[in-house]
Amino acid sequence: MEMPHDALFVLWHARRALLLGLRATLVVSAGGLVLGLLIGVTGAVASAFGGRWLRLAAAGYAALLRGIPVLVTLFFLYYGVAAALGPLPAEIATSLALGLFAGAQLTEIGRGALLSIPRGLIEAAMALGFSRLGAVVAILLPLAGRRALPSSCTVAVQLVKASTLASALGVGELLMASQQVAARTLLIPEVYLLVWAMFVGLNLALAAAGRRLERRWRHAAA
Amino acid sequence: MFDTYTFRWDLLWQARGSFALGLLIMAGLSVASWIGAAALGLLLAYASRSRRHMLARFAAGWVDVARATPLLVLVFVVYLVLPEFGILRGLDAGTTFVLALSAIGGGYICEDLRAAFASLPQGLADAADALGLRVWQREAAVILPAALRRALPALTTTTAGIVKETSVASIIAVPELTFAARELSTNQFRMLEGWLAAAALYLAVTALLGAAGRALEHRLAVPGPARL
Repeated sequence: MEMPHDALFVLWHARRALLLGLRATLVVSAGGLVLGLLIGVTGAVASAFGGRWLRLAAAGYAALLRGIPVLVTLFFLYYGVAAALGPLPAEIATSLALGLFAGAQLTEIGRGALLSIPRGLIEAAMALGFSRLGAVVAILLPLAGRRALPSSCTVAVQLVKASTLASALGVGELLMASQQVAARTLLIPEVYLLVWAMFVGLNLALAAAGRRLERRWRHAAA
Repeated sequence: MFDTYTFRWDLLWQARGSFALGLLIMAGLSVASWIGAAALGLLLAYASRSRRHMLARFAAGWVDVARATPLLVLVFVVYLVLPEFGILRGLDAGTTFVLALSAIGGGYICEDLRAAFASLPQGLADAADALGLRVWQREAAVILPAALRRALPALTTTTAGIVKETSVASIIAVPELTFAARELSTNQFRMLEGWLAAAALYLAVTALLGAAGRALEHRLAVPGPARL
C-alpha cells in the first residue's frame, strides 16, 4: 500500500479480467431475473386468481424457495441434477438457482400487487367486453407490474449479491475474477476494496432506479 | 453418467454426526450474528433518530452500504483487508464470518427498527414527557417496547434471513449444515440425500422461526384500536 499510484497502475492492467467478471455477474444475474420474472408473473396470477390447488401450489413453491438458502438451492441443482440427469454447467445452475429464488420472491410481491388493485376494474373491463383472462392480462398485469417494479429492483439487488455464491462453483463472476487478480498481483486489500466498491455501486444504482420508478409511477398507479 | 439414481439413506444416517454438528454450528453462528446485528442495529437506529446530522448520516450510509454488500465479499474484506491495516489480525473463519454477518444484519435490523420508530405517533413521546419521565425512562418503558412490537414481523423476517445466510460460511470451510451436505455429496457422491436433508432442515428452522415470531406477536399484541 506504500505506493498507491503503482497499485492503480497494476489494477488498470487487470481491468480486463475484472470487467469480464463484472460481465459474468451481470449475465448470470440477468438470466436469473428473466427466469424469475417468468415464474413470478405466473405464480402471482396463480396465487391471486387461481383455484384452491393452484393457490396452494404457488404458496408452497414460494414458501419452499424462500425458506431455503440460495446457496443450498444452487448446490442442490449443481450436484443433484448432475447426479440425476447429467452434468449441468455451473453458470446455468447459478442462473437457475437465482431464477427459482427470484420467482418465489416475485410471486409474493406480485400477489400483493395484484390483490391491491380494486376488483371493480375487472368487472368494468368485462362490462366493456373483455374476457376475464383478457382483463387480467391487458389491465391488471400492467397496473400491478407498476406497483411491483420498485420491489423487483430489490430482488435484482438480491440476485447480484447472491451471484457471488457462484464463485464457490468456479463461475468466473466478479468475486472469482477479483480473487484471481488478487492472487496474481498480490494487491490483496486494493483488489478486494475495489470489488466491494463495484458491487456497492452496482447495487446502489439498482436501488436508486427502483426508487426513481416508485416516484414516477406513484401517481400513475394510484 | 447414470440414468437412474438409487437413494442410499443409510449413508445419510452414517453422516448424521456431521449433520448434527452442522446444525449446532449453524445455531451458534446464527445466535452470535443475531446478537451482534441486534446490538448494532439498535445503536444505528438511535443514531438515525439523532438530531446530530453526522450521526444520522452515518447510520443511513451504513444501512445503504450493508444492503448493497454481498456477504461473501464482506467476509473476504474482514479476513484479508482489515489485517493489512492492523485491524482484527489472526481471526479464525467462524469469527470472521460472524463479524461480517453482524455488520450486514445490523443494517437490516436498523432499518426494521427505524421504520417502527417512525410509525409511532408523536403523541406517545409527548405523553411520556408530560408524565415527567426522564429521557431514558421514556425510551426504555414507552417508546422501545412499542417500537419493538411494531417491528416484530420485520425482525422475524430479518432473523430468518440471518439464519439462511449462515450457509455462506460453508464456502470458507466452517463445518456448518451446508458444509456437511456438501461433504456428503462430494466425498461419497451422494448427491441428492445430503441436499434434501439440508434443505428440509433449513426449511424446518425457518418455518419454526416464523411460527415463533407470529406466536410472539400474538402474545404481545395490545388490545384496543391504538395497536401500540
